[in-house]
Amino acid sequence: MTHRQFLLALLIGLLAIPAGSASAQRIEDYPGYFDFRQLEDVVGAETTLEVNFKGAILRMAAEAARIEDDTLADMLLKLRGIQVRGYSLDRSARKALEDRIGPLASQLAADGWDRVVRVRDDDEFVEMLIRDTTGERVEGMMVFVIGGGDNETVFVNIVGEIDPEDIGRLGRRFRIGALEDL
Amino acid sequence: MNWSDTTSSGRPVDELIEPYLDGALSPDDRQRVLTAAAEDREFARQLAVARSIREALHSMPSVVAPPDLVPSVMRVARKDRRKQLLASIEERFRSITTSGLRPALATATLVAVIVAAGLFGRPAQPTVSPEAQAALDQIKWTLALVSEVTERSTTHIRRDVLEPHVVGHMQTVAHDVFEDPRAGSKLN
Repeated sequence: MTHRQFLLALLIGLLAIPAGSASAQRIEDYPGYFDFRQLEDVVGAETTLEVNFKGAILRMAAEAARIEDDTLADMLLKLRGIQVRGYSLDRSARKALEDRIGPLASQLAADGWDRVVRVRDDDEFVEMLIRDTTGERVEGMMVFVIGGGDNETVFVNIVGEIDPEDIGRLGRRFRIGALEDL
Repeated sequence: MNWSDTTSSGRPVDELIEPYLDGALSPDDRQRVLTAAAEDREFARQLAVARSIREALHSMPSVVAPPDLVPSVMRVARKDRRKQLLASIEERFRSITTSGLRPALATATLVAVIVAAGLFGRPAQPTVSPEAQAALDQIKWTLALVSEVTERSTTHIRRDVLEPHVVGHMQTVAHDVFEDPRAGSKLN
């Protein structure tokens, strides 16, 4: 190997290190990640909706969003993953689930999540928690919603750099259809 | 009269054989044919041969043409016509390129290329794959859900604040007034 070839190989190697280390970080390693496997025993029912977006598909969605909305595209590019689980539960199952989700949310709060919304109502149960390990930015969001209808039990985990104001502002533009629409 | 003589219309008499057999001659020309046949044995023989050929053709069984015959013939004709047209264009183009018009032709070609590039070379509208669009739709739905949950929760919080501190207090006051008139006098 000549001196020039050695320098070229060294340069390529140095350039590859940051890219490789960035892509090697798994979504499970991010502080805002929530492992939905924890819910399997808690819910005790099959999911009717399961969404897992990360990596390439999330970037593709961001680029698709750029056609109509730069703000949405920029926000999506900062995310590392979006997970959604939906369940079809009757009233008694929902009430039983509320009794189990409450302690789970408390456990998350003990693990460093901040409880920002907590609603207990006759026909609605909401827990929203955010994760902020640095004190500078939100790195994850967890939302538990147990609504009044059979198909209104939805849990959401958003992983990555999140601006809650952006989510509120952007979310208001979009229509929430029934779960069956998805 | 020799059968190679011309008729009153200037046509040679032998050209009158077919029209004669078709019955398409004027009385004068018809008479000329008959005269020529009577006077000239060779002409009479030609006339007899022509008549026998015609009768043989008429006696042949008629054949029905296949239904696609006309379209096929038309296709061949159009193909030939296209070839001729292309050949003529090529010929004209060759004559232009070999003439003094070559600089003008080069300029015109350049302009055409630029115009075509302007029309067809515009950046194409980005297309979105169905998978990406489906993902985006679900992401929008998720964001909308989170947004709505937050807003509804805010409403709940306000109600939670209002009920104990305002509505509850008013109920207490109203109860005192109606149950204990003396309490009402305190309000005055």
